Amino acid sequence: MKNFIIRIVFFILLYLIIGRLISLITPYHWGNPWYSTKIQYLEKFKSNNLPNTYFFGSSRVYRQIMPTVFDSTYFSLSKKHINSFNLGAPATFCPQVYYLYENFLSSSLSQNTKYVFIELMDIDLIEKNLMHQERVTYWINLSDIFFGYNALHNNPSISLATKTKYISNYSISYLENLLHMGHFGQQYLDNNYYNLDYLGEHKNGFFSLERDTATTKNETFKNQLIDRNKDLIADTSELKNRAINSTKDFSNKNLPLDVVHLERINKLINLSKEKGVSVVFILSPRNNSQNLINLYNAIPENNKIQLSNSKKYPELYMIENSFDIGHLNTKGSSIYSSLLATEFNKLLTDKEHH
Amino acid sequence: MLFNSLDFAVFLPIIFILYWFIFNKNIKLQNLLIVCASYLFYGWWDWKFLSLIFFSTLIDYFIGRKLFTEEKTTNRKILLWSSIVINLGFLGFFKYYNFFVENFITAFTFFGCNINANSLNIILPVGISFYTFQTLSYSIDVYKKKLEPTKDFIAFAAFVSFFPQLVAGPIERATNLLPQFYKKRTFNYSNAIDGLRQILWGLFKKVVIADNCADYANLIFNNYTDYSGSVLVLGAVFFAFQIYGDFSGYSDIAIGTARLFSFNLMQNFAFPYFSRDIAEFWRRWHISLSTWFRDYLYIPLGGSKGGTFNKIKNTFIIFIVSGFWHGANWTFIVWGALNAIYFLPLLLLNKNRQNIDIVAYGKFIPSINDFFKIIITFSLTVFAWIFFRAENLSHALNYISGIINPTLFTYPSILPIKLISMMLFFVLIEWLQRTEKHALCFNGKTIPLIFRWSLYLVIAFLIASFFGKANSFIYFQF
Repeated sequence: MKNFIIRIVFFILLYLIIGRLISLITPYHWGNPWYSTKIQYLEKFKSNNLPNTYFFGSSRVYRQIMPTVFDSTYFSLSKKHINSFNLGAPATFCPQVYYLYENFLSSSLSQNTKYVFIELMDIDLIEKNLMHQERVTYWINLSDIFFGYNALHNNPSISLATKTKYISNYSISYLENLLHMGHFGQQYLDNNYYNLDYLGEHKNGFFSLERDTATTKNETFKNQLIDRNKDLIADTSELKNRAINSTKDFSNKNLPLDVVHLERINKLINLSKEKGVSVVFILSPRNNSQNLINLYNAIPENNKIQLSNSKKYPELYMIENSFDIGHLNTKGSSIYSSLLATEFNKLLTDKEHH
Repeated sequence: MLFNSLDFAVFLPIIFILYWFIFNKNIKLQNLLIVCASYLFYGWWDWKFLSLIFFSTLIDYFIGRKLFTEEKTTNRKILLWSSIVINLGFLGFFKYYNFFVENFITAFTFFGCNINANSLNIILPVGISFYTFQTLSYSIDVYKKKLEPTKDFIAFAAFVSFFPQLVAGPIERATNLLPQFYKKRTFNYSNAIDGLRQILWGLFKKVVIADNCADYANLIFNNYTDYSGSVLVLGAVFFAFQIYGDFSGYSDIAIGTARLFSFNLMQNFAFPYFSRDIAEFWRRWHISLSTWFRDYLYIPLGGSKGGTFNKIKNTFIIFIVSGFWHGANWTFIVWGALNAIYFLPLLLLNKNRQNIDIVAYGKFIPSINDFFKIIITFSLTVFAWIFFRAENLSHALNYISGIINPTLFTYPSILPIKLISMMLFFVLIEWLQRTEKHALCFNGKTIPLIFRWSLYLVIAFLIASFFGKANSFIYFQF
């Protein structure tokens, strides 16, 4: 029995060492297909004319921020040119987005970068349907997992049961990352892994949900999108609730907040400064937990924009501008992108005045 | 719980440690642990159906005890038939109720008589076909006095629910497995190491071969009208590899896992795609089911004794029942009948046992004659798999008519070279190891350690690389 156990332990150690060596000698691989495609596209086809502004975040960025509208609105307001690109990807949450951004900063792509917008999000639970996929495991390293644990521990608005579930899912995903589970396989076999369709119509990283519904070849996904749209039209009460919740107090800066998360944000701001990049955290519409609002309040004024308050931005909660409960349609996205550019221009102008 | 899941990767070491380090002093406690672990393993999927296994265990235990003491032939027959009716009754209800209702309605409607009967929304309990046949073999063997019934209820419950083979076999005979629960088990190093190798190979078959072939097989079968004949042929070949990798992979993991606990299960697959005729294929494919049908159906029917008519009749019965065992669909019945048609000429010409040795034994490559025989047998099998995979008969027939047209000779629009190269690697390893119980069995061979360990590591990395889909095993639905 002793020999048996020694042999298994030895095999696992050998596996881990060789796995580590392979990781060190092979080129870095982004495990998120959307992000991989976008990065590869920029490196291959845009290296001579790299954008100077990027948007990071989940589908609330990928499906809602139109770089063409943002750039033109900003130009019309400031008479300054900006060249932006949407690096958002579906179901890409915090802290994965922070990991992506940190790696982006250390890559050559960041050299031309002036502004970066990051969607402000709570630490998210890895959904059951995403578990064990490469895209939710490849980025989990020790420092990120500790950040996750600490942030969860400090989050006053999550129950203990939910925290346990979060921690368990993150730990399993970390273990899978350690064992290289699910890495490279699909990238190696699947010819559609790098899919230029992800870049959207104008090849700027924005892909509206309407366009995806019209063009996807995946019937199940298409039906899901259609159902999401139908559900919203059939019952608008949830959208109304979200609009009401979004008007919570933004001025009270003494509410309890997730200090670990705030520390990470401040670190990102400082890291960006060192690289000559101005980073702005966006509190986007329809995603406004109290914890997130408290966090938003604590972020330095020059590094945040909120487009979440339905009193201030009622158009972002209107049914005619919505695709589903959590996302805007193309028309809504255009309004949102324009508002974002306007707020950004204000932010820069205020900064200059100060 | 799936073998290819993280849940099982945690479950197995825990049970292993408890079994060998905590309960190792007492065989009854070890058996009790196996029962609890098996019920947990099964309940992970749906705990409600545990009652079905428990009830089946209880019935067969008491019928077995009663059969032993009962002397009167009539009463013994009643007891045996009670076991058969109850066990097959459960199976029939859960698996075949809707099939019969729908076909009766269709048949009556055809003759102009409308009847009202509703099909039910029935969930098929995972593995019911496997454990039902296992418990039936116990009752029949006790009835035939081949086996003395057990007094030990825990050992019997462990035999019925033994988690490595509970949901997808091998379908063990009570005469082989049950006595192993009475004997004290001692840890055997080389057996356990070889068990681990078999698990590794089983996972490779499932995660790397079957699941990746499944992606292409599903794509092609579900959209067969979009593709040329050459692609449809590829689709059928992918399915042939999918089903083999999936099912034999499960069996390898089951046998390997059992060996970790010092249990020996029967070999279920013996490199069937290297068979030179259909009779050989059926001696090498799903051996535990084939031999079950042979012993408990074919031989009681008279086997190949009697006249030509009897031979034909019995062959068709066994193959059609075998097809129907797989699922309540006409496609499985046609698949079974097709195999009977393949098999009959060999039986009638008395050539069904001409290939009982291992192909090209002691040689690296087969003779041209053997090679063509293997290709022809494989092609016949692939053709039959089309019925097995199809949703219904018209799907199968349309798929076949899609193959038989001039586009058969065009360059396939789908040709996943990387996947095909992995399939070739898989075939090569299986070919080189075809004389062994499984493809990573190196017992008694002088292969350098560095080569063996490199192979294990490559396989482990490939498994890890493709891990993540956690696809269910095909045979769970049977």
